[in-house]
Amino acid sequence: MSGAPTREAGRGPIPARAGVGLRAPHYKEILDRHPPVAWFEVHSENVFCAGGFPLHDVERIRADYPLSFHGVGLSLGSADPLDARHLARLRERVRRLEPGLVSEHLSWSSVDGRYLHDLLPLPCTRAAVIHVADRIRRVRDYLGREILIENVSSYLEYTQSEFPEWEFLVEVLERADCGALLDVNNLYVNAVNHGFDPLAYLEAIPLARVREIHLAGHSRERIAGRELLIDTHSRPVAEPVWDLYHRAIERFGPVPVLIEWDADIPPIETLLGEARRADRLLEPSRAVSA
Amino acid sequence: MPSLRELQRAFARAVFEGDEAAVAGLIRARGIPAPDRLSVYRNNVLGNLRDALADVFETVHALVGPEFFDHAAECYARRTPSVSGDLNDYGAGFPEFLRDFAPAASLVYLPDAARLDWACHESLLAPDPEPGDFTALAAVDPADYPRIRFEVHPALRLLRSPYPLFRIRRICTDPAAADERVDLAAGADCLVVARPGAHVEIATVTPGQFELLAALQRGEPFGAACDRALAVDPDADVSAWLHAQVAAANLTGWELT
Repeated sequence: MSGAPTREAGRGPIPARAGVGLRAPHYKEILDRHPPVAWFEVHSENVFCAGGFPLHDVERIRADYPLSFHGVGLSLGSADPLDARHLARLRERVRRLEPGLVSEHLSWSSVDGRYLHDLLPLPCTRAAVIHVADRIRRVRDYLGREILIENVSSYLEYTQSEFPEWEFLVEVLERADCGALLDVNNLYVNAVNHGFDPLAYLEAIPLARVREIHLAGHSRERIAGRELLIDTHSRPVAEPVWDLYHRAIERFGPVPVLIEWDADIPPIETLLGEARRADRLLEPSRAVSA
Repeated sequence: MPSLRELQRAFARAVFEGDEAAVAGLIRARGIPAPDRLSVYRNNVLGNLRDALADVFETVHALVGPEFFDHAAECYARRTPSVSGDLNDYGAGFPEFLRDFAPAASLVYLPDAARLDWACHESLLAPDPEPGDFTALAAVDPADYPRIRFEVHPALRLLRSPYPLFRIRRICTDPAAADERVDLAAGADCLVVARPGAHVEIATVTPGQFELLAALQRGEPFGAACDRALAVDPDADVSAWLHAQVAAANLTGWELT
């Protein structure tokens, strides 16, 4: 199942295998060595530039590997109007690089035109469901293609929330009629931070909605004498997250899964090792569905 | 119940201004008090902005060290909103900020080092030029040369400093040069930041060459640009300079106007 994808794989759909988050420190090595990775995912904003190696290297990598776009700056949950300039840049790059999947987050990151560059949690209210689902639909119509929506990690809950996070996510997915990018690490982080059963969360997501899974590492911190998990993307995937991932693919079947690493980025070999492990766990479900 | 906008405004005030009064009441405490929960977000937000600045302003970072840089970057981040969802757009005002940043007042060359870092960042991400064709230039009557307008590469940035910036940046960013010393009185630098291929390069030029390129970049015709260069350097071989700029891909097109 391993081995470098063929050249024809470029521009193909995202396979139900383990991919790796594409980060600038690895561009050169990927181009030089062509490591065996089933697909890559780039942060959409990292190809917004007009030129230079950040764009050209990704274009060259894209010629040889399936590529997906993962946005961190659209601020879907903001009370501000959708950022027309950001959307226009996204659409232009989607047309140029033809990613196999496009995703964004169920969060907000700007208010009154000021960006916080973090994936901030929304209150789980009916009003927020209506607001964000409407915006997801508008983005999909503007781009002319589906976008997947990812659950985010959080370190607080709002008093005004009317239902649990998983119900909020499902309500948004149903109302926007869109697919989910299920981040299993975020799910686990929130289950620990907010004290809910992660399996109940998995059970709540309709089977057909999940089109992609994310895996990443988190850190444990003690804050005010209590443990809080922080979604740092700076470490290997934690064992309980691997367990939960196993349960997720049992439930959702073979879907593309991505290893993300964004801080203290290790050699690509480390990411390949994580991807191999994710792939091994995927194999039984692929055999069943084949 | 506050509106979504009210909640998000209160959240942003807590992050940037430390004013948690409005948002704390909207957060469930559950074991960890709201201010501690908000501090996680404050660290994330300010940390992301700091890291973005550190990536771009590598010379400044090397000159002042990580602790000082983090402090300066955080002061800048609190008072300077990021207005784009793309973090690569953040930091244009940092050189100006450093000029007025009292703790850095003794480092007179710091704002210029920051300008150079930002010029490199802009150059890296600038558009690619349309491929130019200079073969027909040979057929132009020399009498018409003054009327030629040259297109300058969109990634070209020109920067002048009273300090030896080229050497300062090299020592800060090239490990092989880390042991070298800079004499601040060594004189002014005229720098060209260019991106002939996919990567950025910095070169020093003479004041005359600098005037020529600056005039061409402003869209002045070749004749007027030569006058400016010769005013600075009466013995300049402008024709040789021009060939060098074409060869270096800093000029990417031309038209006779």
